[in-house]
Amino acid sequence: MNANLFIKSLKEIRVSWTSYAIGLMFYVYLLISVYPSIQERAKDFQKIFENYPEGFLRFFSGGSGVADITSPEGFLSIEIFAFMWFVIIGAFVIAYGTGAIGKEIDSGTIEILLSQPITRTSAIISKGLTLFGGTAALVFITMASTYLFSLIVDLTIKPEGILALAAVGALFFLAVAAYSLFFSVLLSERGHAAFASAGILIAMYLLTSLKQYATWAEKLDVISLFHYYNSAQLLTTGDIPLKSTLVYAGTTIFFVAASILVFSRRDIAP
Amino acid sequence: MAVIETVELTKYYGINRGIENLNLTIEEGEVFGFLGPNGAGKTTTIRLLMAILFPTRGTASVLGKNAWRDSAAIKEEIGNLPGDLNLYEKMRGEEFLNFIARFRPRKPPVLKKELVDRFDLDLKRRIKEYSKGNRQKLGIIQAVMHDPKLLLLDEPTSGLDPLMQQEFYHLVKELKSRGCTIFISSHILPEIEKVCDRVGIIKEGSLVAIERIDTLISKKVRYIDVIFDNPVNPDDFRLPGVISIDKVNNHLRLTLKGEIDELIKKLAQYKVRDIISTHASLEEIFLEFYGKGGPSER
Repeated sequence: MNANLFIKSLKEIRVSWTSYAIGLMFYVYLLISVYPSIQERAKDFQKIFENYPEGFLRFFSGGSGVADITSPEGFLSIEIFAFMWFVIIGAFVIAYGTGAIGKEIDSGTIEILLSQPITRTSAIISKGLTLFGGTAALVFITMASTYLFSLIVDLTIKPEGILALAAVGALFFLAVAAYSLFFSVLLSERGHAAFASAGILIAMYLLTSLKQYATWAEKLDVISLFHYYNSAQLLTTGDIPLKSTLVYAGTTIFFVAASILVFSRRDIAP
Repeated sequence: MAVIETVELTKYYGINRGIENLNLTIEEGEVFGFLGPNGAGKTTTIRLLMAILFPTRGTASVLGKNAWRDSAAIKEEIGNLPGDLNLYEKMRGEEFLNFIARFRPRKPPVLKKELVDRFDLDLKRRIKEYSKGNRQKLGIIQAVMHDPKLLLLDEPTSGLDPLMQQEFYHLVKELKSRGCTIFISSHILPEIEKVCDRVGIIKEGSLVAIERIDTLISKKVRYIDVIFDNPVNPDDFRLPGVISIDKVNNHLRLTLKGEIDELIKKLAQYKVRDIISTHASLEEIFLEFYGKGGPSER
């Protein structure tokens, strides 16, 4: 790892990262603040909730099987740690993941960078650490905000549930970050890399959300990262599933190694 | 000691030729000019030496080490000015130079202040506010400031005004006197003549010839267009070095190879209304001296 490049990369994302962090905190606050009114009319909301088609609910919960929206875990799962959360953090992860190396190639600064005494492996690790650190920090900020705001509105959740979701959520987004990084070194244009990364994330989301409607989707669901994510269960049990951990960590390690391998061997011509 | 040595170095971009079978040896302390038209393969060669590209075949060693395997270690001692100079637009000049300097903690930027003064560059401004010339100055400074053993400069005077070009030529001479080996790629023959010891001429990806500059000068072709007040006899100008004469009324076009002194003295005997001297283009030199022949080393 090259400390000089790592610090420069941190400086590069400080504005966008801070914006995302503030946005996430505001998003969490906004949603949690409506919880008391939902709880006051719990029966009505539950009735409305039960009338929604199951597929609709599955779609917006990223495949989590939420049974009760008025319970703290159900509410948080479907309102916060589902569709919009993936959109917000996914946007950051894909934008920075594909830009980490892709932006240097696109702007042509890669030639100046690689003219310095730094190995390509070191360059990608320095950029990758910023990406992974920034991603994990956003996940933990969401969780910390959730926990703190929950205390304010009297929404009782298990600390171990939040920790479990933080760990699995961070691993989930690290896997997305890793394959985004891979596309950024594989494809010459950042736009193509972002398109591919976002396309895969959306495809996986659809696969898991709609698996009950098509046999082929059900069969393919195991390759979706969302298959191994169930926020309601994580919040309720506080247990970190070994399978999810292995899949996410394995995906991350695989794509980081592939990124290093590809980047170390490819021509870089701005 | 050979600072740069390439053996059959070849680079293809898919089916498109970059360079082909480049055999080049550049000695320590030498200023070597790499001359060729756009698209000849000059930038490809530099990018291969900098391990930004990988070869299709062939080998290259820089400072006695493998150009790709030992790339990071080699770059500690290299300064590189890319031809397509792209800098970090949001950084200020000072911030950029400090960022570059931190990559070489063992090689502090000892020449930075002197270079900034010489090139009269305002480091407080953001790079995006710099003119093309100022960006080029910053590029030169970042390449030179750590006093490298080897400098690779791709079209170094691009965007510099004539005064700054002169400053750059002085700098190259000073660096040479300090023992720095300098590889300059350019398509401008007079620039190469000014500062280089030897020149390699590259055409369509192949090294057409390597010459000492003094040899090249003796072979240099110029066109001298002279307009006389009165009609003259072209045969009066059949002097040593004059290889062809074309006459249109009072206008003579003399093609001269070598020294111009004798012709000037002859012209002084006539009433001349106007005189224009132009250097032959690279293409014309190629055709004149090397034709379309294959690589040769002289």
